[in-house]
Amino acid sequence: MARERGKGTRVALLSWTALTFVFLFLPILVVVTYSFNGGRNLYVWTEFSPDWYGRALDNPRVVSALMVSLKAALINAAIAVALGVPAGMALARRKGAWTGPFLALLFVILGTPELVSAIGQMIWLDRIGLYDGLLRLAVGHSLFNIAVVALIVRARAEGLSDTLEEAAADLGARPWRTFLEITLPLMAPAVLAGVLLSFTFSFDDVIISLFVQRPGTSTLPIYILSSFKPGLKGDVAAIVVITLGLSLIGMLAAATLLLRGRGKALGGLLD
Amino acid sequence: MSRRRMPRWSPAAPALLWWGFFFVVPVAWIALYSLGQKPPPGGGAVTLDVLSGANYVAVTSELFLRVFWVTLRTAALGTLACVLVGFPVAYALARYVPERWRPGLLFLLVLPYWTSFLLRAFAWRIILAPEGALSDTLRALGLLSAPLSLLDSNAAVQLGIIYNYLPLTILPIFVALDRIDPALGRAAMDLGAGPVRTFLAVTLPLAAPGIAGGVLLTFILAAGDYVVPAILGGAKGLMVGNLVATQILASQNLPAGAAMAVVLIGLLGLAVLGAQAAVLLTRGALRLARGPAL
Amino acid sequence: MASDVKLDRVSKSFGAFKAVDDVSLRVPAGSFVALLGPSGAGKSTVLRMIGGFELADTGSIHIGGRDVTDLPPYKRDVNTVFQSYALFPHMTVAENVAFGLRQDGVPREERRSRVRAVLEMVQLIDYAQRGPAQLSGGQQQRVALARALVKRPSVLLLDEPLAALDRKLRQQMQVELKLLQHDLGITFIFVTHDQEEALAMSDTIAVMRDGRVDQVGTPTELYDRPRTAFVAGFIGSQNFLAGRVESVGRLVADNGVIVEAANTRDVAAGSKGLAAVRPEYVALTAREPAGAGNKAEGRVVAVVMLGDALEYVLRLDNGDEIFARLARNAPERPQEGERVWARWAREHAALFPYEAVAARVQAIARPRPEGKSE
Repeated sequence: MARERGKGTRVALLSWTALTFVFLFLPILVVVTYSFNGGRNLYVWTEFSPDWYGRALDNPRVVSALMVSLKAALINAAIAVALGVPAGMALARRKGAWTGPFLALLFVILGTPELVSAIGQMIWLDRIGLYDGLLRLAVGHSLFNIAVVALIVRARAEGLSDTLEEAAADLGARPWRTFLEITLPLMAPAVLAGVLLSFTFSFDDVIISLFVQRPGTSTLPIYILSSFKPGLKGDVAAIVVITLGLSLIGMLAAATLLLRGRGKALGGLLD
Repeated sequence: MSRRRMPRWSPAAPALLWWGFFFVVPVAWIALYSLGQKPPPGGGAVTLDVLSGANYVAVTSELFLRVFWVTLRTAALGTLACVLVGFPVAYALARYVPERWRPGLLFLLVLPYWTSFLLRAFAWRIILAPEGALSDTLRALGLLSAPLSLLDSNAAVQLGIIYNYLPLTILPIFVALDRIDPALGRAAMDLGAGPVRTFLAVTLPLAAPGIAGGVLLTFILAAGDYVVPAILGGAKGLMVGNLVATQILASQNLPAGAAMAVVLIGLLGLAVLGAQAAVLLTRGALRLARGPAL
Repeated sequence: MASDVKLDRVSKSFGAFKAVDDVSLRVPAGSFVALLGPSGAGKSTVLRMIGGFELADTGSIHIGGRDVTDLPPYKRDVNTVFQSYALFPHMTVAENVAFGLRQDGVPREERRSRVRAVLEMVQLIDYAQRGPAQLSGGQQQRVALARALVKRPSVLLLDEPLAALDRKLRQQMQVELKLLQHDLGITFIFVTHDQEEALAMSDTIAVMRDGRVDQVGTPTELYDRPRTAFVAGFIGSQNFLAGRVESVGRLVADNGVIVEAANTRDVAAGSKGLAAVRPEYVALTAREPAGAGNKAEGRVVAVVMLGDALEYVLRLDNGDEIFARLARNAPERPQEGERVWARWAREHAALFPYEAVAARVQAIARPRPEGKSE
């Protein structure tokens, strides 16, 4: 057995890390477990039963809220990608004096409490007369997600040499063909990851949805939130777990795309 | 590649315009609305005939000040707790976890943060429920004499904030530590510094900007949080976020809510500047204390 | 079919920095030309302008008589081997090589046979289905070469293509590239900062510094008759002695050594000058040589083994150093620590107007004895 320096520290830190991870995941497990609680009162465990899942999906309000969430998330993802991908590529390939201020705005968008953005959306969307429920949600969510997509794309583009596009031009490819055959395939994982993340963030969003929603277009998280008031039952837990499942799939797919074959840790995202 | 090419930033222009139109302008309107008045019922969202700072005066009422104070305190304590708990984790991930496992663990770390807000707060409602399993267990063990009453209090909110933002604090610290060239630590030890001194004199200062960034981000987002206090706080665990939401959504007093939001942004802005000043001052003080090298 | 390349008074600035300053150059068709210079000299920028990746601010560029100044890269009959190779990571070796042919609309059968032929030429036919990541540096370099050559361009540009290779491989590739160019007859324009490389491979070398061309000539011309002190010092090794020019062809160095030079450049009497003589022309003797000039006395402080030669570091009494290179089997080979005289012939000394150039020699500095200051 090879001798190792600082063994004690290592064990202590790794144990602490393991404990922290347990701390982080325990509540999620708790919710998943309790969603199978057959009893009337959610907090008191009676019996194992998947009934609530059926009841949740039967509820028309749940289904309609789910549809609203999905549609809004899709529109928002489209906006985020359409605006975020070019911005990310420009940040990587066409740096200049503009890069600093742009990134500053980007980080303001990321770091400002959603509350502020939500109020602003509410005021402004009413003023400009945008009353369509789905569009309001999509627009409100898109701000944050454009920033996310831009950062992901930038990280990916910086990892790839821009000489590749020059080489393609050198070999006779016109700009459009270079984009289709070189740029797009190489950026695809990042773009896809951006789609998935912006979809997921929009789907889970609470506070912007709360402020910009119109009667008749409520998202699933809003429905869950409103269900907290009357006595809590298992069907809400079931819905929450369903959303968790969807998010998980989105996350896993995004992570696989981002990390496959690339040595860069997530650190590349936060540069 | 033409001589008269479009400006370098042109692909980013759509995003810029979108942000300008849907973020910058709306935030400016918040400021404007905060100077308006709540109109009589049926008169729309706000009357801007007379612009005054009346709402700001209302903001300094006892209730609001108390809630602001609770908010800042909760956010600060929460951030501190996150750093204390999270720094060792970040350090372990950067230095002791094998390279192979890192992406996976980082993903697992961030996963709770990226799952639904509601899910996480919800989970704590179940765990902390007076009639729930944890409460029963603690009573059975004799640690509690009455049902667990953490819920619907500031304590529950504090716990929820810590839980919520822990991954968000760990990640920037990890990135900052990961960036440090391991050779620097070896060089310090080669020059005679023990592990503790190396950590204090080399590792920590180099990681400080990243740590500061993570701390600031956590603090700002925690201060503006709505969901955690809404679900776990009840009437006693109110934070600014809920107050603003109530003003705007329930009381229909948009100008008052806007004023509170502006105050919040202002306070957070001050926090950012204060943090930067603190960093500069600390650096200066340290230099002064050590004396010139030459 | 090779083409000639003509640059006419070409300039390029990046912001305030003038990377290329009024450069005119003519590269004959079918020749192997090197753009040589230190980093920042502007040689890569010139290459990129020929390739079309940068647009000249002023001046014109002609390839094969055709004005290409404003044309984008995909419209020029020029192909580039990039310093980083720039192989497309998401394509196999064969697909990389075929890319250019596809852009030209070459039909599939012809494409396949040409790809096959060029991969056999660079001896990588067995790697055709591999991805670039699975190849070594040298192999990647050959794929980049094949990819450019398969299009049969009239001019091939190479931007420090051997920089990333280790020394042995680099020397091997130098020979291979030289032979390749000879067989194909295409015009090769090659950027490098390694003067040995340029000397070994090129028909003509253009030495650049600070955006300008200092001198264009064959390797022999540049080596034997450098036109500026910079070229004298950049190519091969050189001893430099700074001092005052007494009269045409005569310099009194600051350390007292008198140099009488046969090769002089416009140096006015009374001005500050730089004398230069190559180490291989410096002989060492025990007894003081006859004559007033072209000699210096000192102590041998180091003898460096260069394989086929020995380099002697001679330290004069005032601390300056002169380098002499002798063959391993030269008749007089002093020992370390001996006091000897260095002497050289008038024909081998040159005189230049003063400029701040460092002598480039292969020697190791030894610690100075106590008491001597820098």
